[in-house]
Amino acid sequence: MTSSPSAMDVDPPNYDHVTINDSDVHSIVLSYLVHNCYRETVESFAASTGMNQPADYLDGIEKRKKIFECALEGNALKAIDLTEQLAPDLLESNKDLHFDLLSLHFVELVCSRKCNEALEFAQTKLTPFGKMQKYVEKLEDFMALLAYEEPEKSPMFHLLSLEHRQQVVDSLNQAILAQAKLPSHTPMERLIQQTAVVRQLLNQDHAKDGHPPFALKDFLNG
Amino acid sequence: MSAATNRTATAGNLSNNGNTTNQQDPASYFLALARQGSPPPEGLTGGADEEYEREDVPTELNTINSSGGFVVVSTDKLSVKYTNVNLHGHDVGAVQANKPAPVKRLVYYFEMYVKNAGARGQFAIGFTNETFKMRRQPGWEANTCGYHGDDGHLYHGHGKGQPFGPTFTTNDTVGAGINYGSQEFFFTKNGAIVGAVKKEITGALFPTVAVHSQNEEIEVNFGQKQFAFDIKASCSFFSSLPCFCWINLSVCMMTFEYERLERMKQHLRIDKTPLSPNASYKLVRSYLLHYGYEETLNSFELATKNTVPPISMSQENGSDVQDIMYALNQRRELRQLIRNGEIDAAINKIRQWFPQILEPDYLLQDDKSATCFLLHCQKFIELVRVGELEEAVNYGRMELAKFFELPGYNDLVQDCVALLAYEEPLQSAVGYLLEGTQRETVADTVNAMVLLTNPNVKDLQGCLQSYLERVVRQLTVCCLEKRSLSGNQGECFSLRRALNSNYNAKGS
Repeated sequence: MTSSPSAMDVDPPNYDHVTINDSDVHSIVLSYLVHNCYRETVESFAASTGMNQPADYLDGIEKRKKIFECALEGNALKAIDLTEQLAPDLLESNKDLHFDLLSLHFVELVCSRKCNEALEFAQTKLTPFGKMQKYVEKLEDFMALLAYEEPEKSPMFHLLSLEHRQQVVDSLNQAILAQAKLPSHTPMERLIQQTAVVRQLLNQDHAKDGHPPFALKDFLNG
Repeated sequence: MSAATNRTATAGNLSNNGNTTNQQDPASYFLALARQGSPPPEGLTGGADEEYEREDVPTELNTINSSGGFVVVSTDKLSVKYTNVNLHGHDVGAVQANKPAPVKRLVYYFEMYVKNAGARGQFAIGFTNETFKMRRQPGWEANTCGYHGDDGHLYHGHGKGQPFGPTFTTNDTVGAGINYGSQEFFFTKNGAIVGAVKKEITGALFPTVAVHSQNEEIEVNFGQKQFAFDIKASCSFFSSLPCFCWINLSVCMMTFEYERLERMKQHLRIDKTPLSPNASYKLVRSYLLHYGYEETLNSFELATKNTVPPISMSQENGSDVQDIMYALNQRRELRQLIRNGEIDAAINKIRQWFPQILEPDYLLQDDKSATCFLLHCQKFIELVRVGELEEAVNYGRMELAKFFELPGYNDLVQDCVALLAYEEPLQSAVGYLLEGTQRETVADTVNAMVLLTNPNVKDLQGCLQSYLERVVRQLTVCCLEKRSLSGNQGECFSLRRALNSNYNAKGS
């Protein structure tokens, strides 16, 4: 054995004698690309590897992509419309998501300094959510934006950020996929997380001294 | 599972002094890979996923080994009655199931219904091992476990038990199960969990019931009827199947709520594991780079240009990225040529760009080049494919004949030559050579060999497989290892199942 333990040294035996199915690996990559709506990449990858072009995937990708583009640009109402078309009842059963999308529109109005319109919109569309306790705090945060001349400088500035919009879009993506009985978290992510978990469990069971806990980053770099 | 190429790394030149730094010989690696499509010889086990074999399950009581004279087992072998008058502790009427509990699943469970408590209600349910003496209560002997009706105690290898749950009597249904995930025994009464204990017994365990006083009578249920314990029968169709159909693992996985909750626990643990940002992105990118999918890579980079939060490539270990970008354009071109069957063109380009990979293998002090060999084989295959059999024969004589006697090479040569023998080669045992996947393998070999020509290459293993595949391998092996630590009990590893995040769906 080498003198200092590295991430590879504590590999379980039989590491090399394991079958990996090419098509499994391809489908892991493909599902990641589909999940993220990278349409051209999906097509290119399928062509380069000789996989069957998943025609219905591509259709779904386009529709989802359109929705997310609208939401990220700040056109939340259109995004909601398209979502209703693609997955009716989705927003009904995902109140959190519905609230988040509506509030995106609200934020858009605030940023365009259309404060009266924003207020009106909030009163008709957002305050009804306030009947449930968990939305009250969120509502307060959003409404507070109206109080500032420059909402970008307010303590709630993160609600205006692209990151926030992306988060909402990610949740929406997961919800749409889940409803279509597709995985809401990519197999790629599960792979990474699962590997870390099982590896940790193994380390615990073995209780080897001196071996550092498994870190995927090190494994990939080492 | 489709029959695509599998990548098994066979023995090759593995240094076997316990040093696990993978010093794998690329030549043997790819030579073995080139024959992956061929049907395996009898009896050879393949990958982890092949363990979905039939496993015997208990279906009825064992009348052959039960203690003589104390009990009567019904003709359908699903009921037991104590006919004697019990006098001491060694005239228990214990009966085992005909088969031990199956282990290749998450949970096993069975039930017992008390028809008649008899004189003293001294029945029990549990698990016993093969050497159990049938005249004793399950739990009273080592390597056995039993939940007893008269005192509600749990007996786990001694004559003295511990308080565990309620007593049970006439008209009660009690159940006993093994949770292979947590390595526990658990027991139920009338549809509710009573409790669980750590299972330390290893080896085959037989579902066991026992009766011990006059006129006690119980009935067993090995799944032929619906269980009292929370069966959310997702399909009434399944509960009407004869119990031998439960061998099908996917059916077993739809059985009950307990199991679903166990799975949820596992999934929640995984969900909570932090995911470093862009880990997926990095794996995909390095995969595309590794195999030279240049166009796809370009699309991918374009698509991810505006990701939020922005992917910071500076986090990458600079030299790693350089390594796999090495000769990207050329690797892409070579792959395309090979995928289109244009072997001559590919060889010409290689002679132009990387002549060293066609030379005898200086890495191995060998006078043969595995890369050269595989390319020649593929050329031969392409000639056969278009029906140029005479030319194929000539080509074979020129380029392949010298490998006929060489270990490691001869199998593939023989398979190639065998193609000539068939009218319909695609249908034959060597038909795999004509599949597109064979071209992929040759392309992968060339790809790896080109990567190895990089003067900055540090990691041999890194040239053979991308990071993504290494993570998949890590996962597979760790799961197999974990399972073997529990005496090979528990569900077989299935990559598909492991990567499925829809745990709320029944039967997922």
